[in-house]
Amino acid sequence: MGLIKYTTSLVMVALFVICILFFATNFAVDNDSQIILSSDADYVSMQSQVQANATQFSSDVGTQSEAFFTSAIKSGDVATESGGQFKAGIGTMKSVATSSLSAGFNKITGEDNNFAIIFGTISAILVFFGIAYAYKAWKGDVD
Amino acid sequence: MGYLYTPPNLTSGVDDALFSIAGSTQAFPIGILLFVFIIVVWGGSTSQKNKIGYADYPMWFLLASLSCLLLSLVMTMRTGLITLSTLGIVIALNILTSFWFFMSKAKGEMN
Repeated sequence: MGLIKYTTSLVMVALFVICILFFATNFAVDNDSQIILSSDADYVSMQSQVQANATQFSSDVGTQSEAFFTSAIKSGDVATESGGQFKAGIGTMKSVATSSLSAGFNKITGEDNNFAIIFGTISAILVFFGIAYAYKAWKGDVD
Repeated sequence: MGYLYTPPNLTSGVDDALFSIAGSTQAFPIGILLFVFIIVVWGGSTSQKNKIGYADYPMWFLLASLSCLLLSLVMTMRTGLITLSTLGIVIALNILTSFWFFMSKAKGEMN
C-alpha cells in the first residue's frame, strides 16, 4: 500500500536527519572542532522540530492503534467514522517534508525567494500524495 | 627561482601545505569535496551498471554526500579550510539526497 511506503519513507528521512545532525554536532564537541554545526541557528531549530515531529508520530500511532483495537465495525458499515488510524503519521510527518526540504533549499540557494516555488511545490505535492493515500486507505480509490 | 605564491613552511606540519593552498585559493577545499562527490557518483554508478545492468543513482548520490560530509567534518577541526556555510551546504545536500533515496525505493526494498 502506498500509505505504508510513504509514511515509512518520511519516518526514515526524519531519523536520518536527526542522526546526521547529532553526528555532526557531537563530532565537533568530541574533537573540539573550530567550526561547529550548532552555531548554525537554522539547523538547531530544524533538529528540534524534526525531533518533535518524530515524537509526535510515536504518540499519534500509540493513540490511534489503541483506538483501532478497541473499535468495532458494525454490520453494514463501510468505513470508520473518523478514519483516524489512516491519518496517523501523515498528519505529523508532513512537517518533516516541508521543514527538511525548505532547510536544504535555503542553505543551497541562499534563501532566494525566486527558487522557493520549486521546493514549495515539491513538498506540497508530497503532502498531497499523503492525503490521497490516507483517503484511499480509509474510503477507497480517490480517482 | 621565483614563485607565484608563497611556498608553505612545512616545518610545523605537513598539513600546512593544505592550509597554505586553501589560503591562496579559496576554492581548493570545495574543489576537493566536489572531486570526491563526482568520483563516488560516477565510479559507483558506472561499476554497478556494468555489473548488474542498472545504476541506483539515489543511493550513489547519498553515498557521495555522506563521503563529503565525513571529509568536511575532518576539515572543520582547524579554521582555514572550510566555513560554516560550506558545512551547512554539505549537510543540506545530505538531507536532500536522503529524501530522494528514501522516496525512490519501491515497496519491499527499504520499507
